Amino acid sequence: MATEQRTTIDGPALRGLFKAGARCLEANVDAINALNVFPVPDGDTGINMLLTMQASLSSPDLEAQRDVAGASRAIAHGAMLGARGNSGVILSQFLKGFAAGLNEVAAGDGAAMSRALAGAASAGYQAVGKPVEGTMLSVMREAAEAVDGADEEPHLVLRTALDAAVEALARTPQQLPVLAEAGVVDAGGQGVVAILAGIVAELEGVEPELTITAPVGAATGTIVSQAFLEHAEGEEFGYCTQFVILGEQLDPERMRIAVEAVAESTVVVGDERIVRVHAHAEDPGPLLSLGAEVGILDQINIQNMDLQHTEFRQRHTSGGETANVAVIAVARGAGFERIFRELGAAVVVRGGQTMNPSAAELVDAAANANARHVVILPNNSNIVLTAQQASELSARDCSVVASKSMPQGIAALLAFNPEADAEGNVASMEGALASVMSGEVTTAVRSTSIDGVPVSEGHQIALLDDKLVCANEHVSDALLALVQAAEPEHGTLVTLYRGESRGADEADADADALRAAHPGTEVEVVDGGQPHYHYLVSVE
Amino acid sequence: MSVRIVTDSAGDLPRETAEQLDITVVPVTVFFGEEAYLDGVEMDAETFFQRLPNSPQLPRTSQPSVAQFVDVYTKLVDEGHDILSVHVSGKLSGTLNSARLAREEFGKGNIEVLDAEGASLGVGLIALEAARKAQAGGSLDEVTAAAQDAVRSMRVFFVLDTLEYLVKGGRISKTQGLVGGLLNVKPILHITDGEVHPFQRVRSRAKALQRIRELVREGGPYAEIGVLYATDPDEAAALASDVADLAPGMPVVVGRIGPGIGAHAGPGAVGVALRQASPA
Repeated sequence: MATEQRTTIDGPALRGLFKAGARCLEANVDAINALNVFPVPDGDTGINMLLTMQASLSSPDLEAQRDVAGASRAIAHGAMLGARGNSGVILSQFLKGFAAGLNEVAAGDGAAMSRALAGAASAGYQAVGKPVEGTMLSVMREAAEAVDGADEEPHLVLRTALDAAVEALARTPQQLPVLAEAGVVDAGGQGVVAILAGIVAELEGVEPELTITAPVGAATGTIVSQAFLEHAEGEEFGYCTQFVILGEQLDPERMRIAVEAVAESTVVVGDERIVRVHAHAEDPGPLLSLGAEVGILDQINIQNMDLQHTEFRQRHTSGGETANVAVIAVARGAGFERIFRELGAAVVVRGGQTMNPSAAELVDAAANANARHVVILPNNSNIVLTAQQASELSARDCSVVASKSMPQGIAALLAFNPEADAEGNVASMEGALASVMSGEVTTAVRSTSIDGVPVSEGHQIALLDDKLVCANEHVSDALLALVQAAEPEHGTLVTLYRGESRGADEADADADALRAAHPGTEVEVVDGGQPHYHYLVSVE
Repeated sequence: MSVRIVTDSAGDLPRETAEQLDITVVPVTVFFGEEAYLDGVEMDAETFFQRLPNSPQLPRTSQPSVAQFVDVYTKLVDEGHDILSVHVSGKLSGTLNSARLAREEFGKGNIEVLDAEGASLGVGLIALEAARKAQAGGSLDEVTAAAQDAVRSMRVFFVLDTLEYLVKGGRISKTQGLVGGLLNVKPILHITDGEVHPFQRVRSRAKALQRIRELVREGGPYAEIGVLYATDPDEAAALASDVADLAPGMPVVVGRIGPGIGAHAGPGAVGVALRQASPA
């Protein structure tokens, strides 16, 4: 059923192709999310890439672009602003390089596509400090190399690139042992393949086919859907509306079309028994009715983004003199948000594990911070690149102090001195990052093996500075092993930030056990209120 | 003509030390409500810190009057002395102003009035050094030059249990985010350009004291070290003994914070005054 092939691709055609790429990504988003190495509820690569793709396609200038150069630039700009998570940032860099490869081209032929892919790969490598083979970077690069100098028709060039990407993806476990041990391919690389597959299928006039092997025991159910549902914040206004439709013989594709007709920023995924809907709408009523007509509604979550936005602005722009330096912190959990405010963060952006803020949200926060220079604390390894992207996009003078956890961010913020200049602050805040070890205790969301340690789904796992310390049946035991691994000395201060799942009494008992095990060590319990993690721990 | 040193009670010099070196200490006044007490004369540190937590309102302080200075200057000049009058930072207190006005008002003798640009032993150690030069027979110019050197080489670091007193007394401007009750954060402050500024924030008092020890170690050697404290003499003695080797040949001066400084520092304050060996 192949249709007549295009010999060149202009602006509207490119838009159509990327929409197809985004649809293919969307159809596979849960499977891609499940390809995480650590069995922890983390940044959700699939969702982050999808939200970034959708942001790229909602770029306001895109519709009007006739040239492929203009369209690719508009797509790249939208992606840069909407990038979430490390995978989203790298994807946005790919799109930036792709557009650079199409500079001044009105309608791209196969050779232009080859140049664009080469530009994408090269921009991706440039964006990452230490490029790692066996990731979306090498998948993109091998796709580009396979069509280096090619001048066939666009669909042939892109088909060759896709095939090379699929092969490169299959090799990622050989390149990265952690992938092999976890029994997965690289999630970001899989996302690249999904987008390319969607584009090629559109060119070939067929339905995209993709085989994604999810790791054994992968929890594609509650955990991922929970993560997905928590993507509540965006730059749009109206109501952020999220719900699940339960039923039989549901049709996700039909639901998606219906939802798109009444809402913005839509994500609709699922199968015939469960469909998840995330959308931003001026009125949430019609959205809910759409779901109620075909099934039973569950997990309904509606937030007024106008109110959030207004409160945010009122809180952070209420007059006052312009500060020299202000800190923006990304935080998750009511307790952590309070702590970051109390310690002097001018703006606290909600986000963290499973809820990565977009670059645009951070740019917005920087604009709202009434200061000449802004320092961003991402407080999560999956937000560092987004923060760096935001700092480049922001009109304000911005720096990123690359805190990889909230305890690290607190250590950095303590070193902040509002009277010192930006340069001095960045230096002392960066110096403070190394002053704490951070750990976490969480429940494994699937069975796997890490660094040779077998992990069963439902076990409590303890990680110290991103290294697995132990997997254990009980939270208290995992915590003890975690602190033991940090080798506390006399005078060491251990802070237990208890999550929403851990009661104050339980935490106090855990703290007593730690004091008994390590006399001379100070142990403090603080209400962090974070989801997913029974404890975040700092040892200093 | 021999030179005599005049200072004020915000210098927190131990009484015996001041007496040994013929330093005249002019007291500031502390008010609990309407009740006024001369610092160190009518109320000592022990009484002050016992009363502080039980007082319904925070105590206030008032600079010595011009008349107090005129009295002191008159007596010393009549005895045939030149005077170096060295005082708590003019940005923190009006004491310096009173002293200058008194000199003009009095209009006799040779009197130099010097801003020590510090507080507590940051002033006291400067008065002490000047007094040693005076006892060694230095002229007013020589004694004043030595005091000016000491002002330039003085560093003061201290940790407070609470910023409440400093903020309510208006002795520090930017405090937002300086302390965190949720995390038991203690601020380390220092005095630069005659003003109190935040230096660093540290988790827990124990870590703050540890950090002060490190700061002392990083900056040595010193000509003289002072340890100042509000309510815990054992803590101060331990700190003094830990840093004593950094000022060879000079015993550490341990000074208890009196009512004048205590009204702004609050209970639990502890810190160091460091006179560096060569001017910075």
